[in-house]
Amino acid sequence: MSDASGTIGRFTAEGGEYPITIDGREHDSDTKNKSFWNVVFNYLPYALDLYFSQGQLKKANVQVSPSSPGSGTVSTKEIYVLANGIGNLEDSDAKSPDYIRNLQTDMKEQSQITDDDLLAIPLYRPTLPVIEAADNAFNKAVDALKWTLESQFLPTRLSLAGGVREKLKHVLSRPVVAMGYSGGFVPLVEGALFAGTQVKSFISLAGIVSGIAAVGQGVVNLIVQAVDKIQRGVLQGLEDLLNRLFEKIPVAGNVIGFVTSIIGFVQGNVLDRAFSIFKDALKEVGRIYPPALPNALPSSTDVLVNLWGTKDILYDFNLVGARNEVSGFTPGGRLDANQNITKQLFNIEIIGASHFDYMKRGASAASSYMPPGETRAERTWNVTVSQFVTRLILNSTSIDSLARFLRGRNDVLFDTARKVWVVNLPVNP
Amino acid sequence: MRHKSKMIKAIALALLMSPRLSAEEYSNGSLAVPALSDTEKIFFQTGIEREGRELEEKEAYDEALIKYREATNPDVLNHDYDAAVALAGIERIYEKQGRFEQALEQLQWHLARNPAKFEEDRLRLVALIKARDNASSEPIYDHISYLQNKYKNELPPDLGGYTAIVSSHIIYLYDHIADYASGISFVEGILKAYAKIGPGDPYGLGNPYYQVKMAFEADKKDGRESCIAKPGCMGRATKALTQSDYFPW
Repeated sequence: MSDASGTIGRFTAEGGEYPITIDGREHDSDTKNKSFWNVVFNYLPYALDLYFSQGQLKKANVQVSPSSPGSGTVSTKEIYVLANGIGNLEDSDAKSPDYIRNLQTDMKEQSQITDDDLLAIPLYRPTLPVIEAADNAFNKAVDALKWTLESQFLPTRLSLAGGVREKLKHVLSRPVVAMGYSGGFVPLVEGALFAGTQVKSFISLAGIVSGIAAVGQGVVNLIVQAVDKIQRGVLQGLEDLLNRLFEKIPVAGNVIGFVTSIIGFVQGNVLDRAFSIFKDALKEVGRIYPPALPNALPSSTDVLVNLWGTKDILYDFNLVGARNEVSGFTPGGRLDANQNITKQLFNIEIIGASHFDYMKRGASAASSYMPPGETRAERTWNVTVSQFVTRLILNSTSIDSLARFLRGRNDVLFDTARKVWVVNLPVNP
Repeated sequence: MRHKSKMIKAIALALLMSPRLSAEEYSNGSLAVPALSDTEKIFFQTGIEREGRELEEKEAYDEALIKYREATNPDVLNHDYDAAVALAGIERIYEKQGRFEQALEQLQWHLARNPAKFEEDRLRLVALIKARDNASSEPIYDHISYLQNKYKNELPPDLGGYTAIVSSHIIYLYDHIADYASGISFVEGILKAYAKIGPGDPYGLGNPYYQVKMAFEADKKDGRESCIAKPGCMGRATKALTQSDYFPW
């Protein structure tokens, strides 16, 4: 697959000997914006479905135009769509991880919500080893980073979006409130666009991530490999890897100093310190690149929530945080063709929340449940944050509903300088 | 087990919806609702708040107050701070009804927990009381200046995540004192700012700010008088705010 800047990916049809190359230049005369996304969207009018798996194009289908929601009864009742991100340790690609199942179970238990009002979309697992959920915070945080970066690999990304589209095409007659977590958010948006879903609101839980894949898939691969080696304390080949990486990306600081320090700390088995230095070296990359999202979201979408926690590893890397504009959404919103004010971006920062706090983790949804390896304080904090996020999702059905919710909470302040809603939840409620 | 759980919820729902139960009973916690899980409470309470909002938008204030009070019942809260959004609804309705002292009294709950955030609400209510008691618009103008200065980054030529909130208060205050010229000028500034952003034309009935402008102009034409001395009186612009799906007022 190519655009004006060169080949993005090459795929082999299942069981066939011939590589399939799709060149976007044949369909795009606009030379100003030759991103990967423009290449893909050029195929939307042809309603071309591409199914990728492990780098191979498994199937290509031509479907009904995505702009036609199809026949059937149109309902005004919202359906909540939940797409997971990292930490899916399930052995089946059809099964969502515990935190999604917990939210789903909780929601279904409630008398007003039925199975028909919920759709969980399990997304694929990372290819690199993932540490058990009960492992220490450092390893879990690094896993979050690895999976987020991996989800930006083109084949992975298309594969995830294809999976989302398959699920969403069954709910075209319903308004959707779509929540995507971490690396699951971008595929959720892409899948919704492909399916023609009527999404009212998108809620990103640390999922609007700087698109560092724009710097090149090879570079992302180097970052993921370096992260993996540092996390596992593997010295072999690390120095060469770091040198190759730092040649290709903007680094704020002394490159030689960074490499020497990282190697030194890995040798001394002080892995969290080595990782911290690696993180500092990469901060500039996260700052520069905009999110890897399409230029526009579905026309039905009024609300885009960009939520993150200040203890999220992706925030440390500058990969998530406040944005002035995302896919045409801004904090002040904009006008649509009917003069409505729409496309409002809500930047929401939860002080002290980590990448794993947004939903209740562990084998049970019960607040009293104690996940293995966690302290009571950690569980209490996880429950507190997840309760806020649940309320946020329920109140994100419109601009005024969300504004009333944030305005009414005594633990939420609006930071006018950054245009960010800052959430300061009680540590011991 | 599942069946029993459903039954408990049905009972809880029936109890909460029953007209025989007073709001005071909910508020003081003397009425027990069967135990719900933490997430069930969130769904349950959010559902009641939503009903309250819908009633408020229809200006069915007494019914809305009942709903908001139901949403403060300790049995549907995980923590006392979960009552905040419903209590803000009660404060808002008291203010819309011109019951400023009661709104101020209700606001104490928020002020005790976050004085910095809710100070501007306290100042607004104090300004409304002073204006009424002194039959003067000056306290209102002072408060508008305070808001315009505090939120200058959120007001024209800039627009931001707080624009709808702060502008709804300014519009309401201009409407309250029947200063239609200033209200129209203020809204015109916002319309021009949106015209710059586009892509649509802001001067159309689909635009909530344009609706407010039309409301100001209609009241100006009719010569509607100030609401300062008329508790509960509401001009067309404030009604436009209330009925809009955009303004959180």
